Amino acid sequence: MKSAPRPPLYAISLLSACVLAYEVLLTRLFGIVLWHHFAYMIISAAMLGYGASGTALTLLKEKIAPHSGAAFVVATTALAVLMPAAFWLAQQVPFNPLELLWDRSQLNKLLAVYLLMMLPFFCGGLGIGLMFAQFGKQSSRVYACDILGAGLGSLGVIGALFLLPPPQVLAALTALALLAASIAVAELKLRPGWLMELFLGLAVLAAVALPPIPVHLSAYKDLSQALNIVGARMVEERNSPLGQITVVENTQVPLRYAPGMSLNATSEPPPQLGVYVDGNGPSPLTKFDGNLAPLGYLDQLTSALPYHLLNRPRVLVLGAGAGSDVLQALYHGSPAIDAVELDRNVIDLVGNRFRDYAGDLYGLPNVHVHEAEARGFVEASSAHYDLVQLALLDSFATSSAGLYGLSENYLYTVEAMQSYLDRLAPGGMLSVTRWLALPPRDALKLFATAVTALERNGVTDPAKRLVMIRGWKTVTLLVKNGDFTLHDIGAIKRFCRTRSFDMAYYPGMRTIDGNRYNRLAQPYFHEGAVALLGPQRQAFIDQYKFHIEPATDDRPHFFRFFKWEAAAELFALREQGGMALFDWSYPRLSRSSAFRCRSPAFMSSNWPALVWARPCWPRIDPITCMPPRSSPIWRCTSSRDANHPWSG
Amino acid sequence: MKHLLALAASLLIFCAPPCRGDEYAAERQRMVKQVQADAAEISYGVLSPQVVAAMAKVERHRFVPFWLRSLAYHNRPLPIGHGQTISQPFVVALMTDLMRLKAGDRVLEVGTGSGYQAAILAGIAASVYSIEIVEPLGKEAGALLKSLGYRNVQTRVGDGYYGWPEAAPFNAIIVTAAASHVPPPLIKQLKPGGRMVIPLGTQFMTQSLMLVEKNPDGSVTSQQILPVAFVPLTGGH
Repeated sequence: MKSAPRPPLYAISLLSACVLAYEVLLTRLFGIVLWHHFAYMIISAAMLGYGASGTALTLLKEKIAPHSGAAFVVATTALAVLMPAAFWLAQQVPFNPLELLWDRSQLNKLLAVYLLMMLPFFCGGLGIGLMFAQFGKQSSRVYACDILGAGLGSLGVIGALFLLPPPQVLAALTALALLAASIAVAELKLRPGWLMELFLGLAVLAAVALPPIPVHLSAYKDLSQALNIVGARMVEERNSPLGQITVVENTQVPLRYAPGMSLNATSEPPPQLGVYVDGNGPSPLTKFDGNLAPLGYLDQLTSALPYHLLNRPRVLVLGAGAGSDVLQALYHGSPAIDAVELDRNVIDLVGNRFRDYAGDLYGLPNVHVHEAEARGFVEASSAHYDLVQLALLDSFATSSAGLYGLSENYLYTVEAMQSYLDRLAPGGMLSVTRWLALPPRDALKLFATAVTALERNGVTDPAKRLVMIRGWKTVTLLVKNGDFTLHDIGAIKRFCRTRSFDMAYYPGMRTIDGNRYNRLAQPYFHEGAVALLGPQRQAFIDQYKFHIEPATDDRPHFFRFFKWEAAAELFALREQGGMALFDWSYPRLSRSSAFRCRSPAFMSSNWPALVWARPCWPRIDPITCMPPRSSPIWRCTSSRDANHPWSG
Repeated sequence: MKHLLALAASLLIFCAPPCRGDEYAAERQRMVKQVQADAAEISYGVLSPQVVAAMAKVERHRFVPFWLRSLAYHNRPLPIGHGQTISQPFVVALMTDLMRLKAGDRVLEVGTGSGYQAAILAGIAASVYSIEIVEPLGKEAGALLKSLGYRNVQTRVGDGYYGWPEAAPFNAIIVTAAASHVPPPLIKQLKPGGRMVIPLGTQFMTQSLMLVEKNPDGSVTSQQILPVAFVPLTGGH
């Protein structure tokens, strides 16, 4: 076959659009099926596929060159087939990420998922690479179309996800890839001519008849667990690029969500619907008929503390979700509540679809709902509030498993906290509630973040503006715009005593008062808070076995608590209950990275780099995926001296 | 009929292939020794002889799917289907020990799961009442416990939030089902002087164990126990 004189620019654009749209779509699909950090795996699988296709092209260039046009069409068609097929096959692999550190066979299953997901990108990369190789003199035009298509695909899929559920978007991409093959036949003037009609027909067929690939959530996700309960049924499902929202009703065994409710509480939550985002949650949508009495349980949570220090405060709720914190503010008599929620689907569920169930919560005259990103809203606002409440939206399961370890979060950074503090009226308070983790992680990191934010705001003695209490499952931090008074401290003590919550820190607190009701082996939280306010703060942060350095906008990984230095100790303790101390996203990342490094495709696509880098590579422990302590890498990357506890 | 068939299939899965005597006895003994050693390593101390005896007696391999039987006596949690797990033996031992059971005690378990924890409890206490919220799991575990001859265990499928009022009060309660809060009715059904144990964490890892004690005056206190010898602070603090 003779080479086409002109590159198939439309087909290249479309192919590139499909590949990038597929990549974005997979991050959504894997976020639903597993957990969000598999998005990172998809990006690396895509890179691997592209890299491997480059190697294949280099090695097979001579053989493919005479048939590059046909090969482009074959690669495009293979992409169309493999996009749904690889995702379907990957779901058949019984991979359970939660078992990764218990069961080494999970590593093979993860590798299988990884390689399967690489295949479509291999085909896509092969198609684009072929055109670069074939039309070298026109590579600028090929590149322009490639980039243009990639951009359009990335943007287009976001728009598509507003309109269609992810599986239908996948079917649409299959159709588009077949359309690209059809256009390529025409542009390259390939024979037989009916090939164009064939691919066009297949594209139409795929668009109208390809059944959506079923998306099976991990059995260990919160939504799967909720649906397993006798009587559970799904009553609503909505999709957007922000997430798949599922509402679950169970009249037989109703959801009763009251995170860390006091053990002294005698009331129970009213019936609730569970709102799950990408299978994680729930955010409770509480039945409300205007009667505040059934909401008494909301006064039994650690997050109720600021309402006992402020009289009918004007409240800003950041991350309102299905309205739990708004109800709490209403219960405590707040005259004006601004509720900020990012996802319009969630707002619509509360405000329209379940308006009667929710008692028209978001339509009440003193509740103002803002569809906005919380941080952006705060930065743009000039209003001042008596209370800024940062909601506890992530689930206990995902949080305690360290599944957010790799995700960026701009709500818990030093700069974010400075912005929240700027919105406080004189005497106002910022209230942040987190899950209680043992040994302390979130709470101390949050405390350290608040101390730094206050210092940056010019507060000379942050110790006077901070209060932290803990229940058996949650921790609440208060940061005041002003010093806490003796009257405040008296109210805090009363609040904690009647609910059997412990005080972790208040100005002038004695250590003995920090471990009364929910006793720990040591008053870890108080000790940590005091250390973070003292002159040895940085030394404490450095020596603490979890990463509690405050997150900043430059390094917005608030949920990263894992320190590689502690990994070996933690892994050795896994059978003695130490497994829960891992941030699981990190070991998973390391394992996926480890086998990525060992995979033949990676070796083939990166061999020059490997040969070049080999002498520098540390030996990797196959179990921990870490260099041994004796490895030079520790000496290179750590400033610790030989006397440091970790150095031995 | 459909339910009966499902039940029969479940029993087949969990009991097949037919067990030839107690071929796992040696493995079980090794597991118990390891659990004892692990408990001694953390500050927890020595497990009570009753707990050790129960752990040594109950055949964990009967409570795991047959394809995982080779792993039954590894000190690790195992999947049992329906998104649930059988807990790590070390954690089971600690939880049981924390309950300080006596021979005549009445125990409530919320979250039957595989039935293994109930079997351990049945080896020490006089009667065990166990509730499971996932219907197929509850039925499977109930049938299995019955077939294995645990006559002092009563199981039922349903909402564990309100406990088992007909059998209350209880000397001890164990809540293995994940819950955002401790249901007030359960605290009510705990006898004064009774103990409630709640593992906190996820299916494959227990972050901490919460022990709730009901005082003679009806008030409650709690403590959180980290089932691991891990000190978060380094020297100098």
